[in-house]
Amino acid sequence: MTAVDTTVLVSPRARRRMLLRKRFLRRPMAVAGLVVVVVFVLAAVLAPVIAPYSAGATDFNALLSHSSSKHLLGTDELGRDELSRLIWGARASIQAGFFATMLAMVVAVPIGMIAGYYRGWVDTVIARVTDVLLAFPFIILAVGLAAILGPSLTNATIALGVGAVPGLIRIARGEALALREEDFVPAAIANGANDLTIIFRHILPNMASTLIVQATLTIPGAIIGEAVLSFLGLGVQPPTPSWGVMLQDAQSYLSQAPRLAVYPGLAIVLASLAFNVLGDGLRDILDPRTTR
Amino acid sequence: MGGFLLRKVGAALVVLLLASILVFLGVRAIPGDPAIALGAENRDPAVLAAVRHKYDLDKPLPVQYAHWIWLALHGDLGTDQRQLSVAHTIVTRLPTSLELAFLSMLLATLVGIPAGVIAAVRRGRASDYAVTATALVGLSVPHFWLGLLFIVWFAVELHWLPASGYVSLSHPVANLEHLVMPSVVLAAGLAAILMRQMRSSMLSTLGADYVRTARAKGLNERTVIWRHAVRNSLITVTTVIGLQLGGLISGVVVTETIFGIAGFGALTVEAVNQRDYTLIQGVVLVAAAGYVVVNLAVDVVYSLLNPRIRVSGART
Repeated sequence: MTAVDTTVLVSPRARRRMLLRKRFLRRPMAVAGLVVVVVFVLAAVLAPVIAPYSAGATDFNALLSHSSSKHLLGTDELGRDELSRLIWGARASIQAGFFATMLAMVVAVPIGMIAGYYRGWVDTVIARVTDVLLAFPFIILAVGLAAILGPSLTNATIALGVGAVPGLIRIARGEALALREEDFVPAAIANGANDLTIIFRHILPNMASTLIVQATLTIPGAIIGEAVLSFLGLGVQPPTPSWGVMLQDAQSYLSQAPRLAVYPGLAIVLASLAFNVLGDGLRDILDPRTTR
Repeated sequence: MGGFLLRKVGAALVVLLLASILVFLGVRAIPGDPAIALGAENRDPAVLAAVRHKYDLDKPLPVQYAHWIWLALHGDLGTDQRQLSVAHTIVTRLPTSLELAFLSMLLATLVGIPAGVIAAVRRGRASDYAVTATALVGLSVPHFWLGLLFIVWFAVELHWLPASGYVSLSHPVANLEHLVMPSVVLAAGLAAILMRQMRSSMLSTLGADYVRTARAKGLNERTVIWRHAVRNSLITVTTVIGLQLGGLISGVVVTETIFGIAGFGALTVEAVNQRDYTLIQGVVLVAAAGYVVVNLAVDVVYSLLNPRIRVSGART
C-alpha cells in the first residue's frame, strides 16, 4: 500500500527516470561500457595528473625497452614512456570523438527536421545535397581539407563531423516525418504555435532519445576515424601523441617491438567497443518498441 | 521502369555536377597563387601572365569551371607536378584498387550473409551469441590496426605471406598471396556490418505473415528460410552494401598505405603529401564520380530485386 502511495507522489518525469535507471542497471554490458567510457574521459582530462611522465619525455637509457617497474608498458624508439603516451593520446581521441559528433548533430539535426517536417521540394533539395556529401567519403573529405587548411586535429575533426552529417540528416528526417503525424502537432497548431515552435519545442524533444543513441554510436566511428587520419599523417601531427600517430611510429619497428603496435590499437578497440556497447544498451532501454 | 531509371540517372547527374563544382571551388580555395606553382616558381610578371593565360586563370571562375569540366569529360584532367598526365596516372593505378575492393566485397558477402542467417535462425542460442560478439569486435577493430597485427603475425613471425607490395594479375598465385591480407583486413568490418544487417532483417522477415503462411502450407524449414526469408532480407542488405561504398573507398586508402600497394588509395595520400593540387583535384573528382556511378548501379539492382520500389517508392 505504501509503495503505491509513494509512486503517486513522484512526478511522471522522475518516475520515468527511475524506471530508465533500473532498466539500464539490469544490462551489465551497457554498465561496463559506461564505466570504460568514464575511465577514458577521466584519463584524457586528468592526463597531466595521472600520467607517470610527460608525453615527450625521453629516456635514452631505455630505448625500445620492455615493461619494467619504471616503464609499465615499456618505451618506444625514443625512450618515451608508452603508458604515458597512451594516456595523453586519449585526449586527441576523446576530443575528436565528442567534437566531431557535436558538429555533426548541430548541422544535421535542424536540416533533417526541416526536410522531414516540410517535405515536398525542400525535402528533395536537402536529399540531393545529402547525396553530394555522401559522394565524398570522410577520407576524401579529410584529404581535401588537409590540402586546403593543412593537416591538424581540428581539421580532421571537422572532416569527421562533416562526414557524419548525411547519415544523421537521414535519421532526423525519418523521425520528423513520423512525429509530424502525431496528435501533439495539430494540438500545438490549435494553440497558435508557429512552425519553429513545433519543430524545436515539440518534435525535437520527442526524438531526443534517438539522437542520444545515435550520438553514442557516432563517437566510436569518429575515434577510429581520428586514429586513421593521424596514422596517415592527415590528423594529429607528431610529436603530439595520438593513438594513430603511435601506430604510425610503431610501423617502422614491427619486427623489433611488435608490442608498440599492440597497445595503441587495444586502446582504440576498447574505447570504441565501450561506446558501441553503451549505445546499444541505451537504444534497448530508450526505444519503446524493444521495451521489456 | 523507364521513368524510374531516367529519374535515378537524372538525380545522379545533378549530384555529379554539384560534386564537381565543390571539387573545383575547393581547389580554388587553397591558399597561394597557382600560377607561381604552374610556372615552376618563376615570379617574372611576364611569365606569370603567360601562365595565367595558358591555363585560363585570367578568366572568370564560371569560364574556368566550364573549361575544366569540358576537358575532364574528354578524359583530360591536366598534368601533375612531374608533368605526367593525371588521367593516365589514375587509370594505371585504379585496376589494383578495384581488384582489392572486389575481393574484399566478395569475402565480406560470403562470410557476412550466411553468418547473419545462422544468427537469426538460431536466435538466442550459443551460435547466435558467438556470431554477434564476433561482429561487434569486427566493428570495433580499426582495419589499419588489424593490418599491422596481420603483418606482425603472418609476415614477420610466421613468414607465411609477403608483408607488402603488389604483383600484377599476370602472376595469379603471387597476386593472390599479396592480396590475401589486405582483402581480409578490408573485408572484416564490412562482413560485420552485413552480418548485423542480415540478422536483423532476417528476424523481421521470419516474423512476417507470408513466412507463417509458407510454414502452414507445410513447406520444409529449409525452403521457408532460403526461398522466402533470405530472399526478402537481401533487399535491405543491398541498400546497406550501397551505403558502405564510401567506407570501402576510405578503407582502400588505408589498406593500400599499410600494405604498400601502389593503387588509387595510396595515390590519394601521396597527392596530399606532395601537395600536388592538380592530382588532388583529379583523384577527388574520380572518387566522387565512382561513388555516384556505383550507387546508381546499386539503386537499379535494388529496384530489380524489389518491384514495389519502382511503383510506390518512385517519389523519393
